[in-house]
Amino acid sequence: MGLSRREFIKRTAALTAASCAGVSLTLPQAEEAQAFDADEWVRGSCRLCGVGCRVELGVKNGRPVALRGVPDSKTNFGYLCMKGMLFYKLMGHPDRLTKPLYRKSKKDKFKEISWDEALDIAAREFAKAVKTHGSDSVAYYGSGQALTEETYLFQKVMRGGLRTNNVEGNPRLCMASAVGGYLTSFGADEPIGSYADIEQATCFFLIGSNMAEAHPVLFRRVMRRKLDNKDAVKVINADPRISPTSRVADLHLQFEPGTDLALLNAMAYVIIEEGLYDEKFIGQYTTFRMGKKEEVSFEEYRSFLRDYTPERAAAICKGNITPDKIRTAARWFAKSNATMSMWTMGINQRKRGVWANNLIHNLHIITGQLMKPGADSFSLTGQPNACGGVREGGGLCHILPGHRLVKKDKLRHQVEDLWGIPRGRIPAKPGYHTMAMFTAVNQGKIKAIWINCTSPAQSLPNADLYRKGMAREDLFMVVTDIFPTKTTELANLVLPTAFHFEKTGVYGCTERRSQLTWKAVDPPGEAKPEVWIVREWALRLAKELDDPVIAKCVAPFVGKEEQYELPEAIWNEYTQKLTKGRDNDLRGATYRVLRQRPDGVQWPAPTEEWALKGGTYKKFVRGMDPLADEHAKDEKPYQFYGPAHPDKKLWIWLRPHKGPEEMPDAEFPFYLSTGRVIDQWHTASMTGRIPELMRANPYAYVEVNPRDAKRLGISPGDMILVESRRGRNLLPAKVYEGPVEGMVFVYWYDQHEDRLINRVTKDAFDPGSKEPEFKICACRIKRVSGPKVLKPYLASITT
Amino acid sequence: MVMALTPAAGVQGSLLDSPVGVNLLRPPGAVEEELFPAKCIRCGRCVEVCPYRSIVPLDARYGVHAGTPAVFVAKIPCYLCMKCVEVCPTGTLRRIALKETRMGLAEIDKHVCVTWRDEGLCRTCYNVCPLKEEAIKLDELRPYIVEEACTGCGICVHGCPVAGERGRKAVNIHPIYSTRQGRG
Amino acid sequence: MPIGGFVITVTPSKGQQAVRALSALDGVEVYGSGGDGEVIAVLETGTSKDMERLVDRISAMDFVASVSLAYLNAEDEMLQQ
Repeated sequence: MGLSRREFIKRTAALTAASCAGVSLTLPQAEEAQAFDADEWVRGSCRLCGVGCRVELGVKNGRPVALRGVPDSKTNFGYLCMKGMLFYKLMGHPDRLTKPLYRKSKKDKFKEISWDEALDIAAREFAKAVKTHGSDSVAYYGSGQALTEETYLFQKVMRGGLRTNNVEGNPRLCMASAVGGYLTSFGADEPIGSYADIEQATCFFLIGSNMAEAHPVLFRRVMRRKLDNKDAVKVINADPRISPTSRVADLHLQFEPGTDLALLNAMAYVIIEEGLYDEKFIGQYTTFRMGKKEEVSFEEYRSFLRDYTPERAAAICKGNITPDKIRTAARWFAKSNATMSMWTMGINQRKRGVWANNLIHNLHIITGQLMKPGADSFSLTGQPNACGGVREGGGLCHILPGHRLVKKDKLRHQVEDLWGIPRGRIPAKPGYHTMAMFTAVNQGKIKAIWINCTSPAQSLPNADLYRKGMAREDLFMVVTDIFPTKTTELANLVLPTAFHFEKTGVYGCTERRSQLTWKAVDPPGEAKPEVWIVREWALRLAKELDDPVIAKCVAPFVGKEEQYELPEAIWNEYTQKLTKGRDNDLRGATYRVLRQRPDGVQWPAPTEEWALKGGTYKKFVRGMDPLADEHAKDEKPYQFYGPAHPDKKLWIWLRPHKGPEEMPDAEFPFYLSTGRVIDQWHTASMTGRIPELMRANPYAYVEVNPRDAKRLGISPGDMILVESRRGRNLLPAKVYEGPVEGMVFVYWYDQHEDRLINRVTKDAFDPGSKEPEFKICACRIKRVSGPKVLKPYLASITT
Repeated sequence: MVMALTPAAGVQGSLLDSPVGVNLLRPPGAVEEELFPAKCIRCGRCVEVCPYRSIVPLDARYGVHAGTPAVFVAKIPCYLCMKCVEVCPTGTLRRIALKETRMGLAEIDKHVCVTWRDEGLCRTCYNVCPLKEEAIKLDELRPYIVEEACTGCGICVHGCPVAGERGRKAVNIHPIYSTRQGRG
Repeated sequence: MPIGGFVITVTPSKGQQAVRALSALDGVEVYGSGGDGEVIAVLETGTSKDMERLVDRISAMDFVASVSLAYLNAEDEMLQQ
């Protein structure tokens, strides 16, 4: 509400009096971006999204003063978005956690304790849980933002030391379906090509991705390509929401949420029926699959697709989809010299996310739009080290470092041997995947959990349900982070960590590229790098559990200086031992090489010589990929040596259309989808503390289609109740030609209880990838009042 | 108990001059500045009704304009809810529709904007504009203003993360319509 | 219900004490203070007579040098008359 009349008069009175006396009553302005001079520029990569922009941090008198892009980097060519230009402001932020904080009961206030006490408590509680409830009563939940060295060391101590595969991380929530798609279609995880394909592509197929906002610097390259070749390059965007990405597309396919599988199969139908497929490529390199073991024929694939004529698909997809649009999209895709697809959460965060990934790969495989310059089926990641740290470093419950599956005895024993620990030490059974892990927390099966660098209390779907478990008094919860979050609110022990550029380590971005960030400034207060924390904790665990094997897991790292030597020793162990002979061979990407390269190294990079040239731009191509030459079994130019397909072929999948888990109905008639906005990132614990970014988007909105708004009497700024079977939010409305009619869209960064949209989303997940269907659930909306003054909100910590 | 009404430091010119300037605007529907101080009875109703507290009364430093309403868009811009024009009892703020509002015209300072300087990628002004794709469009990813559609609400100024000199941003609102001459 | 904006000049060394003492008075709200002993206060009373009495009372406080009116709103009273 506005000022009351009395308040107004009083304020006028005060202001008038103050101006007469020359007293200033106004608050100081927020700090603005300023010009700068730095003494030294230190190289690293950006802390935020998964693009992996190369940056330099300007340091003056030991303090960070600016960030700038590195012009000779092949990821960003010197460009940065505002997030990348401003994150240095977080280093000296007054909200930083600077001392270990502890409380026995979650009802108590936190009190400051020493590191010695903190590590003793963490070791004692984990040891107690293991002794009384067994190894699987403890868990680690990490992050695609932790350095590779950190994820690797955490999982080594958990698996080899504490004998549990309860090692998970937030990448389960964002790219597990992409992993599943790559493994099942190509036999090997991660994209075949690189960003460099963008400059060679003549058709872009962007589906389920608002890359203009979520990956702005990469999107710039797509736009540059399009604008420099307006007629020769086509951009197709398929998304239920009109976003800044769709505004630049030649063709926007706006379908109803959850109908993407039908659309993709219909495009394949057109390609097959119109003879636009690459018969030679299909014959040489592919097989058709119904199930993992069930091979089918081209004819069976063709007859399967007859269910997806453009007419039938258009009826399923609704929105603006017509049979002609599907035909046009399919023709552009197939006929272009080189087609590149890119997607993110719209495809991955689906009940059938793996299938959706498979169907995109299918389009590339049947048209041969792969391996040649500019052609690739390219999944974008949202976090800076989901690929490098978690996918490659063994950060999920079913995988070990170097793309090894836990359940394969041979691979598990390899890891045990390389670590020098007894065989059988790592359990043969994968641990709890993320949703199962937090369900186990709810059920009281997990007694101690370590949450590192992520905030599941805000980022899990159906968050209220899982927050109940995290709040249990019989669960001991450690959180390592740099700022208070919704998750530190539920912790027993909060450990302050060093931020990016306050420690040394490697991030691996979307395009198989590993980049080193070098420590430039000291962390504030008593904040420590995670690698030090894990090492010291493991040594105490070894004593508590009287188990020398735990000590052995960290023995190679004892006594190492923690800022540079310790991470390098961990990186060396991981790359030299664990990636040797694997498809993500990183032996050439030593710190020495990474420091020399302006933009890191793309694996496979088996030797320093190869790595110094930048590594491998395109996998599977002989002459370009050293492993394709090494594993060649015939004279063909492409060699699919990936570990998951014994026949060394690409698989074309027959995947039927399947809708979302929860469909709108009479009671909950709208689709709810969530996503990002350019200035905020993830749970806003970082971007929310940069005034320049917070000012543009101080709180989340619900986007409502103008036709729905008119029908429901909603005006811009009105307060709207968004309600599902699980929870509710109260958000201001943005009436906007964005979401398709019948769908609302909410940004998920806001930490305020009224606007924390994951209280409303659904926790259904893909049976293959176990990735939740954040992107679709049913909700209802109701106008509650006119505009309200809202304040931005960030979680704090009380001591 | 009489106090001399001398302008406070930082306030230029005589106490009769219009306070309106770059990023300091009148609410929607305002009459010309030549008439404003005479027509406005300083009743505060527009200040009172503004749900965002965008409209503030000018203080005594603004001489004869003290008590008249203004919007400092860099601090809190106008969100175009159009409530103020409904409550003005004197017609100083005339009843107009959202899209007819002309508080001023946004101008991007290409020498300050990081995108135009080719130093970074920022589209915040475009993203926050309530008339996105009408009042602010993108030319090869660089934002530009469409004069015919810009309401001068200042949401872009408020959102702009780049600071120029003297409290300005990379995009600023110029009150070109505030005078008789400006309205032509 | 008149509302007045005042600049109260106090002994600069007793600024904190003055702000506390003034804030404690009924009908007085302190909005801020300057380094030279200026305190910005808003007085709100039932009638103009009450306002005068309150000003006298403040003037009599030993750390107060002067009380100057900068803004007065008394439209309610005028309407009543």
